Amino acid sequence: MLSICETQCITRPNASASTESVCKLLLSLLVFSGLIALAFLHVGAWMVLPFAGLELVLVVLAFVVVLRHSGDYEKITFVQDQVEIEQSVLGEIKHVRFLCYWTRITLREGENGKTSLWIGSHHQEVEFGRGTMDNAQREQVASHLKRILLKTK
Amino acid sequence: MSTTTVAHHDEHHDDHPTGIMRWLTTTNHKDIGTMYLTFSLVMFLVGGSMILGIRAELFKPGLQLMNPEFFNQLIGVHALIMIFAALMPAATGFANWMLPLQIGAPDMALPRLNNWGFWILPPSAILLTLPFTLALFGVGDGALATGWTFYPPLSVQGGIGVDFAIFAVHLLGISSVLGSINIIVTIYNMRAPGMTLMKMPMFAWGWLITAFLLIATIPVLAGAVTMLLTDRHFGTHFFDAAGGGDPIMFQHLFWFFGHPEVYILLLPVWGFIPQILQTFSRKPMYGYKAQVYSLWSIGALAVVVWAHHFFTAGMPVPALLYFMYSTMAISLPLAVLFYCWIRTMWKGSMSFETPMLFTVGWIILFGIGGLTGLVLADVAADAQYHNSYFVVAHFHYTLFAGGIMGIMAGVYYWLPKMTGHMYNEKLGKTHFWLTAISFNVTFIPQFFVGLAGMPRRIPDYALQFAEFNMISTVGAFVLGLSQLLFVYIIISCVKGGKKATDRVWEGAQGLEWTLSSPPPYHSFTEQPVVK
Repeated sequence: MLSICETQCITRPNASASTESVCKLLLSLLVFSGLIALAFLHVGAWMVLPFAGLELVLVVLAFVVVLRHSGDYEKITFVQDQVEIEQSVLGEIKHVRFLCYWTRITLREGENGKTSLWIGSHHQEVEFGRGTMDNAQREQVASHLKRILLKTK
Repeated sequence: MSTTTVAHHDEHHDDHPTGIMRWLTTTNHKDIGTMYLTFSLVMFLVGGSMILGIRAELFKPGLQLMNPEFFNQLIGVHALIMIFAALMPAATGFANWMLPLQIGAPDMALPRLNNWGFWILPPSAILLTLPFTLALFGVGDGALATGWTFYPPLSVQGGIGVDFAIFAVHLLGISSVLGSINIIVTIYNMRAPGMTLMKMPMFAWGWLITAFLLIATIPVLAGAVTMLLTDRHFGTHFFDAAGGGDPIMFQHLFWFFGHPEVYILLLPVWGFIPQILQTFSRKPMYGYKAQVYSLWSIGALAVVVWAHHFFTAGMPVPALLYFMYSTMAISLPLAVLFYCWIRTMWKGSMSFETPMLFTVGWIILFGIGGLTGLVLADVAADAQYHNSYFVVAHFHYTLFAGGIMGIMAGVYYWLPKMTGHMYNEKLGKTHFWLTAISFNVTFIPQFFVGLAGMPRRIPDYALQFAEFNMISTVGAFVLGLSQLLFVYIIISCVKGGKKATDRVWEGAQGLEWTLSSPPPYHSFTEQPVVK
């Protein structure tokens, strides 16, 4: 998910589910599947239980994997003569600042036609939008940033 | 200021290898959707060929082409292939292709898992069909000869074909579960901003409920066939009456999965059918909320009606009454759906391109399937109809007309979007009429022979059923050969043809139609926002 305005670019993974709604969903699945498995256990078909348990563990794991990153974001903000890059991964926030005048925006071609977007100056660089943007979006952000930086010079 | 590298999740969005490796390693939802649909089409032809062998045998009374054991093997494997390897993968293929586009997601939530989910399928298809080949070399006695239901004691006593089928079903189940988990997580967590649950396309609702049903019922099937396996090889007696087991318990276990399976096959179709109707009626879908609630009601009722499949097994009368009335209750939400579908067309500016033809045909033929199901739900009547050809005709009206013809409607509807080319409309309409007419020629006679008392799963029959079986066989061969035209239409559309516009259909609504035809490898270059 990418949003761009004149002074800010934010990219984050799609995250339409709240933790509360996911917990409700998992609880209802647990109750529903659990009741079915217990009912069959009651009549002697106990082998349903391990399969149901295994499946529920998989569902929980899938949501854990996805929700762990649902709060992640990357943000580029222009503050006066500086560009600030803020990156939040698993709740850990990192800030990096560069002077606009010296900042360079680089799009690098990698393997399989994959591009990467780098922002930096004086041999220090930060990669932006690695897992949340595709090539076209990276190009779009790069040209947008270059345009803004040009205005500041 | 240090160099920082951020990795959010696996980088499937930019990886675009070519050649065979693209298909083996792809995590792109469109590639995986294409593979599911292709696999489904191939297995549809394999399963169809098997049933043509059966119909050829039934062309005349007496045994002409095969022995009864081989006849039974063909029937069982035909059903397993059509259900697990043709219909389910087709619906999953559409889910992979269209759900992310429809809800504005960049891809499925768990792309790597998505890839595994597909690549489990081919080995399971090989497992299902391998015993036929092994028997040619003198290994084993062929595939399972129990029908798709695995009923003990026959399945406990059967040859290695039963073991192959058990492991195949396990793999197919794993694939379905992985697909379901992916779909639930995707729908819950990957929707575009503003795409609330009650703004989702109906197809997403259909699939969400399908995924819940799969999560609830697959463990029951897995448990049942594993118990069967231990009965066969490890000395347990879950289902062996001689050892204190209960063969009827297997029927409960199997149909606790098996009946929801019917809705697992149909709910995705019920999801996109109203979308096709609104497109070709050029007016908004009627009763969106009513349809969503009906789908939920059907999903809920689906798991509490399983025993109507074995009314004649000897249940207590209160149980018979409960299962009869609960089964009949399903017709209420289904009636709401039918009403909404018809109201969507009512006073619309309708045109009858191939997808709409298939959809209207689908409504009529699936309606017949539903009504004959209502007849079978009657305990008193079922005593006569059970295990007869009436049942065979009924479930083919629901699963071929309701399932496969629905899938065909979806294929014609989305094929131009997927390939970027228009299919040949004239051939498409020819395919529809050939399919619809030959389908009825095949299965209407089966209602009659069923009512007259012809049992299912028999390679030979009484002389009184000869004419109707002859008609049915002719219809089946026309129906089977008609599908070669379907394959030709798809292949020629993939190869080229008139360029499709982005919107493809004048009345098309939804996010998938805002993208180019075919959509770019990475769908949305700008995040769609739903207002």
